[in-house]
Amino acid sequence: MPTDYWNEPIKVGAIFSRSGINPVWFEWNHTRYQIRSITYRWDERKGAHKIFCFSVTDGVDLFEIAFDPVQIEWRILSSSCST
Amino acid sequence: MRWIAHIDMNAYFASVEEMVNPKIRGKPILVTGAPEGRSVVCTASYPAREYGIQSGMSLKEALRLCPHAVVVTGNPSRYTATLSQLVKMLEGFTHLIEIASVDEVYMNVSDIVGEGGKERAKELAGELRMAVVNGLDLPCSVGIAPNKVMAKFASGLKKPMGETVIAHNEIEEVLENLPVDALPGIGTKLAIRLKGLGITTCGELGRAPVGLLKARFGVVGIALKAMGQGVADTPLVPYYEVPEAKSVGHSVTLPEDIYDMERVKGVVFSLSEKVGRRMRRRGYRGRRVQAVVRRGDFTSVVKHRTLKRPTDDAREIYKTAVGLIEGIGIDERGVRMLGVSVSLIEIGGEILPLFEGGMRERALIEALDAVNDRYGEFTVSWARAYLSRYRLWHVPMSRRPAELVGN
Repeated sequence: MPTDYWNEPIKVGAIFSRSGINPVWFEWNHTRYQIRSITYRWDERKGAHKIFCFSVTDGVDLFEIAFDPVQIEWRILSSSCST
Repeated sequence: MRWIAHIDMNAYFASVEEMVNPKIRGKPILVTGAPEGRSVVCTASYPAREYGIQSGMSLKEALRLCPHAVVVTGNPSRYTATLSQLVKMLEGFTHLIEIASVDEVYMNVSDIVGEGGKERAKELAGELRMAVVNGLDLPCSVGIAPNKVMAKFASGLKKPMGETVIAHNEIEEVLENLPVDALPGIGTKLAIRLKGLGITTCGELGRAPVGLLKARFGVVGIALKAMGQGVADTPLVPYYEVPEAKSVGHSVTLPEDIYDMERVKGVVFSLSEKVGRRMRRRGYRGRRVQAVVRRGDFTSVVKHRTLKRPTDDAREIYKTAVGLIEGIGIDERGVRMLGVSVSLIEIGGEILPLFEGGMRERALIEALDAVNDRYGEFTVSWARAYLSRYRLWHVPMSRRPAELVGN
């Protein structure tokens, strides 16, 4: 499963709660992906603030998406697709 | 009685990547650097190691040994973030935690073992390992012993997923017939030199006359004798008491060998900017600039120059480093790796420019730093850094840490 790298804005539906951020679905290239599970989460530094990163799967393919709380935007960083 | 635990994360990068992508669990996995150009294996999973693949091996060679291995480009941020999670979890046991590397920590567990001796230490080793498994779902090996050297040696005895305790009164027996290079800190070259003195085991090293070892190895000889005896009083430095650096440097192995000085200068500028930025962030200034050139045939040349005044200015570091590299020269062997570092570090005080122009430049440097502190590394930089054909920094929200740009 090769990995392709991106840095594109996406639309994401997420639940923000005391326990953290849980993305539930995202739309990219006119396709809606339902997130079946978040396989990993970590954060990275961007200047003075954190970017929240998630590795998610729709059950078939794997994606990395990230949330910038200052810009209030979500981006897709990579995709590893079976086809 | 002192007890030190060493936790070594097994095949760490590969284990983290298995968490990220459960579909590759149990497969031979190779975690590498940038996918383009030459790349080496940073970590191989245990199934991959069965094919003879080791860290540092070229990706090409590794894939020759195991063509069906899964290749994953490493993500340093992920591993650092996981290390933070590990430390946070281990703080439930003690705050005396030293981060030895991205995949190893030491813990002073003397208070936890208390009077319980080896039996309590064995229980604790199991508790620590299971805490890591349950908390992070990552495999590790744990070693507990009276000092850091022996604890690290102990954790290395059973990999993966092992627990080993060496009690104070067992050290002599453990070390007696152990080859010297089995100890952390004694590599092949040092072992060969010790063999020249008739020393091949730790027992022999521990009994060797200190005068002989000092004559051969200088002050290091004293430390070697102590290691042979399993005595190592190096303190555990908790991660929140980070010692001051003796030097600050950056180096890069290029995706392809380069043969002309202008391209070398571009890389050196980027390295100098990274070094300068790190120094300014920590309040360091340094007087000795060192440049390293590794040629395409793997020979390396190192040169340094000591400045009259300490500096933290990337352009001054760059000018000095380029002068050194021009002295080394570029030939038909090309350049494979470049490094720039600054040592003879001073801390505190401030740089007082001698002239008004210097004051304006200083103000500009501070303004650039303020923007990059706020918005991320290299949000703004000198034009030269962007004209360089090789971008060496991690672009926020991007996954191409070392990227060939332009042309």
